[in-house]
Amino acid sequence: MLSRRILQVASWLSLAALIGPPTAFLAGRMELDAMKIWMLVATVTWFIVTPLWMGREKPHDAASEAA
Amino acid sequence: MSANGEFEREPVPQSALLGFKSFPGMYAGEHCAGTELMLGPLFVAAGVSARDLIVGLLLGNALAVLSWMLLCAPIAVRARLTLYYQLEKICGRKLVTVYNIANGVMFCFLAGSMITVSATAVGVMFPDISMPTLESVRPETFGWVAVVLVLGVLISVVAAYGYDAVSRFANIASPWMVLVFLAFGLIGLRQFLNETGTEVHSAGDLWHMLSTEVWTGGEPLPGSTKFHLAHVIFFAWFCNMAMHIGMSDLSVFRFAKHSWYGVATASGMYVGHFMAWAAAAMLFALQLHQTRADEHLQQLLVEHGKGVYAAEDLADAPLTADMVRAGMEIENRLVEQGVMKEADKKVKAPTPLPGQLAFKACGIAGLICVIIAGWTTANPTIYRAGLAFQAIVPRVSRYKVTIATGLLATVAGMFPAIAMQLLSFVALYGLILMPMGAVVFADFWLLRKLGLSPYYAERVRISVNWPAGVAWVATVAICVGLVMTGNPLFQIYFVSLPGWFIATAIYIGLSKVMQRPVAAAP
Repeated sequence: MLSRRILQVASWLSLAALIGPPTAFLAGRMELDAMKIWMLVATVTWFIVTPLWMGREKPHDAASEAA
Repeated sequence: MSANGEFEREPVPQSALLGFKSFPGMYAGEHCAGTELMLGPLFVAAGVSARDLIVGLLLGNALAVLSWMLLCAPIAVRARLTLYYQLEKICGRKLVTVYNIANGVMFCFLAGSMITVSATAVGVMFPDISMPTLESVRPETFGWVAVVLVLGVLISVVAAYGYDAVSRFANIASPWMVLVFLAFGLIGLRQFLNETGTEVHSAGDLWHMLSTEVWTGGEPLPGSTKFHLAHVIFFAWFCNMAMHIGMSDLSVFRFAKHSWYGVATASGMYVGHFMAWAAAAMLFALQLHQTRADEHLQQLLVEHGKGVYAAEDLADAPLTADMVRAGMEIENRLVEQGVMKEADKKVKAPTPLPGQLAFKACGIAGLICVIIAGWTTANPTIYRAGLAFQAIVPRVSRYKVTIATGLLATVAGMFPAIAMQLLSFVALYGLILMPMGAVVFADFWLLRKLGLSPYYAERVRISVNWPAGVAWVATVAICVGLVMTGNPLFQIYFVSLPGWFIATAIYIGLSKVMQRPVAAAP
């Protein structure tokens, strides 16, 4: 349960890392090339971490179904 | 209970109803898709102004949400049947099969346009492969055919064998994709500020830049229809016509506890059909703003443009639709005069290629977005088309039908005309499926009040209910006829509105004439 929560937090942080750089670019606080690299890192993180929890049964759901 | 838990031939029971929160996320994901990357830029190609785009999308999307709330969802929560089963009761099995074919063919073309969108991303990785232009109709190069074929076959095989996995992947990609679309808008906006040297201190400053530099209105690019406010309103309202007025989403809202859950569609409309379209439109507007007339066009305009264009002005001025149009007219004139050969014509309208637009804005993350957006939306579309076709050949396995359907979509994807004219195609798609929605509406709400029998085909056990069939075919024929008159009031974008009333009137009128007395329903 704790690891699931950690993975969820990592996913949401990767989304923040995805939209943060374009927002900083809009505000004139980041260069375009740096922004593109951050977006790619955030993208890779999202697609590695999120499938580990999204769409999978929560432990208690699986337990109740098994019962 | 049905064997597969989908309640395909029975009303959804109370125990299977879903709460409100099941719907907004689904609609936001479904309507933030690969086609949005094509539709947004096509608004720019259509010469839309900032006021028409923003006001039109706000109003048109509101009308679409109201159509789901007031037309589709109220029937869905009362009957709790899929569209296909409800149509079968009204129209009869054979007529529903014909409807399935029409539905399947339209799905194939739509999936084809999504494969086209994904293929433009591959073009970024292989710059030697020539991409289609705004005016392309047929596949023009072997490289393009090969790219679409490889992508299409991959998507078809996955749709046939790994549909569930891709559905799950699409759900995972959805929140990420929405934010990448938002990033397109933020990045495009900053680049416009940089390009124009605008400093924004108030909302007024921002609006001024949007209306004078980004969506400036004016003439459409050659090959596009000029869009005014009414076009944007009606397009936003009717682009999902098959789903709300056409009642396809009866199959979704039959699971809703209340009809007001239809308001959940606002998430899809305002995330996908407002934010995503505006963001994609901004990227193409930026491309136009950064494009300059090439040497050939400059020479044509200066030497043959009757003094309208000066060389020093053209060098630094953004390329406009007027310049492209003037260049094309000059070339045509020179060909007529025998000064130029037809093969030497070089002026082409700038083309919105989603892959290139996204790569320029967001780099590899943008490119991944284009591929995933096209792929994850083509996948269920091919799957649904396969299901529709399988009704005709029930003995052939679903896998074979889905692969054959995917190959048909792949061939459609090789023809860039569908993607490049997606505004018109989407309007046509809605028009073709809309009349059956009008039939369902009239059958459910009006027939009993007029002393007629709803679900007539089921009650008298017929396979074709002719009033419904004639209402469908005649409405489409009348509407297409109206479009062909060339009257601006009856453009493809508007004609579905009178079409709905025509379909309703024909169905009721013919039912009055053709229905035989039926024993009262239990």
